[in-house]
Amino acid sequence: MARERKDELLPGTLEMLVLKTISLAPLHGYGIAQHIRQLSKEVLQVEEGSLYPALQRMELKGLVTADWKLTPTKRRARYYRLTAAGRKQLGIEESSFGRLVDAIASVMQMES
Amino acid sequence: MGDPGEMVGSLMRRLAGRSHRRRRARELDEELALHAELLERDFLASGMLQSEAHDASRRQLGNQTRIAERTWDALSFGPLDTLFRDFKFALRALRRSPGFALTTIITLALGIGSTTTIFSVVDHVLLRPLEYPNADRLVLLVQRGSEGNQRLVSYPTLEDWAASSSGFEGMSYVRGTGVTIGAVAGPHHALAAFVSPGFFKLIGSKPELGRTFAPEEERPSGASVVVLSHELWAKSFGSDPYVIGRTVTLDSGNAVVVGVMPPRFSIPLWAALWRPINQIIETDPALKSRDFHADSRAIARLAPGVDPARAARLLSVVQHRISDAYPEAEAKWTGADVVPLRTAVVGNVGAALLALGAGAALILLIACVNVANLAAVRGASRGREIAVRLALGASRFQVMRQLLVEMLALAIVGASAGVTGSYAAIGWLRTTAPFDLPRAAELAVDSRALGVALLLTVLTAAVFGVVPAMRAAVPRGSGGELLGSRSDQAGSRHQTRGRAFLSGSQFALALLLLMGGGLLAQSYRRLQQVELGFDPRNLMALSVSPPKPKYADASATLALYDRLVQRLRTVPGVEEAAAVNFMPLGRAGIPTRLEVPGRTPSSDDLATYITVTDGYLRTLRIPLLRGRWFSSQEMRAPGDGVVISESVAKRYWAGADPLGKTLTIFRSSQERPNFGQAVPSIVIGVVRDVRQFGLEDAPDAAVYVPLSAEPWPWATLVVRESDSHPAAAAVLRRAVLEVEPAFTEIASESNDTFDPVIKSLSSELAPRRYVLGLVGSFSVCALLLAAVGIYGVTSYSVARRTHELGIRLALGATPVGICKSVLLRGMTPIVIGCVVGLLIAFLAARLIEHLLYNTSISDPVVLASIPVLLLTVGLAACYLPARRAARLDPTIALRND
Repeated sequence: MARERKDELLPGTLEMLVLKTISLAPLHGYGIAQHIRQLSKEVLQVEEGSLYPALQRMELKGLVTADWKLTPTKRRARYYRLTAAGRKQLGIEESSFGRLVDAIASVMQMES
Repeated sequence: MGDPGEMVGSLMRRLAGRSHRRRRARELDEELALHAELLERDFLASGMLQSEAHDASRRQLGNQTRIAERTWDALSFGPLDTLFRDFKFALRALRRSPGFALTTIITLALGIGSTTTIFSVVDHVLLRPLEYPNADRLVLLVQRGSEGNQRLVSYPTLEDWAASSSGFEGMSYVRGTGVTIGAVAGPHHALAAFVSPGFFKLIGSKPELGRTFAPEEERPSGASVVVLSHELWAKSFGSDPYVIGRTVTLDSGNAVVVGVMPPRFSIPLWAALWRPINQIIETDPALKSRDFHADSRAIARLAPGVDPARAARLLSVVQHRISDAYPEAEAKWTGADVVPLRTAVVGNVGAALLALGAGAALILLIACVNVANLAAVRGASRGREIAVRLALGASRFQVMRQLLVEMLALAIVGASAGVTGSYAAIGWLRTTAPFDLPRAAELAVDSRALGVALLLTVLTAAVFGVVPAMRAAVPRGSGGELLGSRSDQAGSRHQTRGRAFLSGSQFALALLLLMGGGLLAQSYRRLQQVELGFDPRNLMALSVSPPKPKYADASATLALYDRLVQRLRTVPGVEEAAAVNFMPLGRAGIPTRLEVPGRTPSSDDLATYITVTDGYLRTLRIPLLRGRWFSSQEMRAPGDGVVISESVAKRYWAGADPLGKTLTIFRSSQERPNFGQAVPSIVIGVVRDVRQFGLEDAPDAAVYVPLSAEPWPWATLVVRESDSHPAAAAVLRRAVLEVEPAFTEIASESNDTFDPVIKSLSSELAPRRYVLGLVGSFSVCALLLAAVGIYGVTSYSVARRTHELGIRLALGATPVGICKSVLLRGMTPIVIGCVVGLLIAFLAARLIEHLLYNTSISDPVVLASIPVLLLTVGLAACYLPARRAARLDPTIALRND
């Protein structure tokens, strides 16, 4: 989508992180934010103001789907999970991200 | 998102998302609430106090409404969403002024509907090429006389043409005769086209079934074969797919069916079946005579790159030589005309259609003017609203877009109604084509017509809707002064003048249409009063073709006619009965050459050859002017007497007594062996001319001979019925079948039965009635639209002048004076419009001249009544608002705002 908003993440990476996060198991919005924060050792802060619009967009693109389930503490929560298209998209993004990181790394490791 | 499938999927989910928007909003609230709660729990776990944790979690989450808004943005369609909003706003605005909306819709429905309908007809009938390969190069050939008159070419002359003229790829001769065909449904009378070699190759159409003629079948003594038309195949052979190879009886012989042509293959138009001309070349004397100029067509294909005019010049050179070589038959016929086949097929319907097209275009123009007027009036009254919107920061573009969307909404509704109407009209036209509209079967409202309708819709909305509204609403410059100004001032001088000009032009256009309608109505009235030369009331007619093997012999045919007439005379309710070869108004007749001693023969010496039984004159009530009619003795055994019509008498013996003068006529029945034989005769009587061919043709010069002198192979039986107790058509038909049961064509369930002659008179007028009806309804539409226009503009100006009129009344103006001033303002453009309209009518009169009969633009009745009608309607439309103005209460008017 063209109307990507500024946040601390590289543009476009939020969707990839969300896809990766829920590829292991379905999660609700809060769970997704927590998971990204914890795994990145508090470096990546997912803003709620970006997360929910992103989830809505991904739902529209057919990458994720959501249903209401109970949490372990018996609260009703909307759990997001990957669709087949989402899994495919994740593969594409992972490989292109890998290439990007390698490219940046080789530039940065240049002897000065 | 380049994949189209994915885009569609996304669009579908968006639409679904929109429809569940309310539910999704509740869900999002719940998600965010849970999010806050879990945050709070985590903050608590990290050692915060309850109140601190609560505040921290809210802070972290931020503005929930903003999150919700941004989430909704994902659902948005962008520009489409804006359009959708504009449409909703437009509908709301229009619902507040239903009068404006309804008037605009009806106006556009009338304008676009009539234009689409007439365009469809004109497009299919006039513009599209005929459905033959390279049809634009197919032409008909005729001879041209020194006075510009035309006649059909004889077979020997056509063969000379084909042998020695350049500019053509090929020529073919078609000889038409009636034949009796033995079909599944019993013997039938059908029109056969005997075609010279290469006819089908010349046209290039492929048969639907089987094949066309092989070269050896077209040579003399070739096998007897026939190609059927699609219609004959369907009607008489039940669309039998195995018809190829079947033997059918044709007159007294047999023929093998080798092919069926596709539907709409109709060259010539009347052909029901085609046979090689060699089948009759030995037996038909007409094919060997240079004097035979009837019942045939000469069709040719132009060489590529040669236009009809050049081909005609080339052919005229050849014909000029032929004219010198055969002075007796060809003198005066020194030229040739080349008529494109399409012109020949469309005939004079083209002129009528163009007149209708012009009528529809005028309606559309008036409709557009009305829309412009309505839009301007509405725009002006919304000046304040628009000024507010501009002041609040809307761009001019946004305001214009809003106006365009509003007009488009109206235009689409109006156009849909109009197009629906034109579908109905075209469907009706195609099935019940009220007269022989050429190519009626091809009619349809298709993509081209829909394209025209769409274009008109957008154009009217944009040009005639938005521009005037915008100009009226935003008078130039900023809206600052408008914001403060009152809405009841009479609009700028400029705008008022513009509206007056539009009203005036509407009346000018309406006058044009009404004049056209009036002139057509006058022509119609005059045609109805045409002197026919006989009395068509209580006359019944039926044409019969005695079946061939049995009645191939002339004396047998004659005896049959005699028995039929005798039997019909005995039917109760029948006063008199007779038989004739060509009925008046039947659009048919065979001419004979006339020779008068002492006159140099000229090719104009022609008269229709009428052969009749005894009671003919009494049956038709044709007045005998001089001399006497044939005696019964002469009817049975003809002498040398001949009866002529008054035109013949006037032509040869003007001022002298024609009785007893000698005159040579020539036998004209092509199927008899003595065809063309000279018969020296003596004039014994003169009768009144009758209209042999049609109402609009001049009274016909004719010679009458007894049927026994020339037993025609077919005849029309005419019956004069009594006024009080006429016999029913079915009774007459039974009487005919009693005499000859073999007339199966009238025994079946077909429509062939006795028809009132008055009915054919009426069908003769049908095309005119039809055009008159259409132009008439166009004129009424135009008048209504113009009246609505002037009424709207005047009412509006009264409403805007309420304040001013109130002051005038308070200062002592009388209600009558106020009424007069409003009327004067309203009527000025109408009067000017009518005068201009009249001037244009005089200039444009030439365009419909050929549709008129003995009527011209200076017809006093039309010239007097139409402008008076328009002025009266205009006056009535202005009077209503004027009366309202006169009844204003000054105190209320002044307080009113």
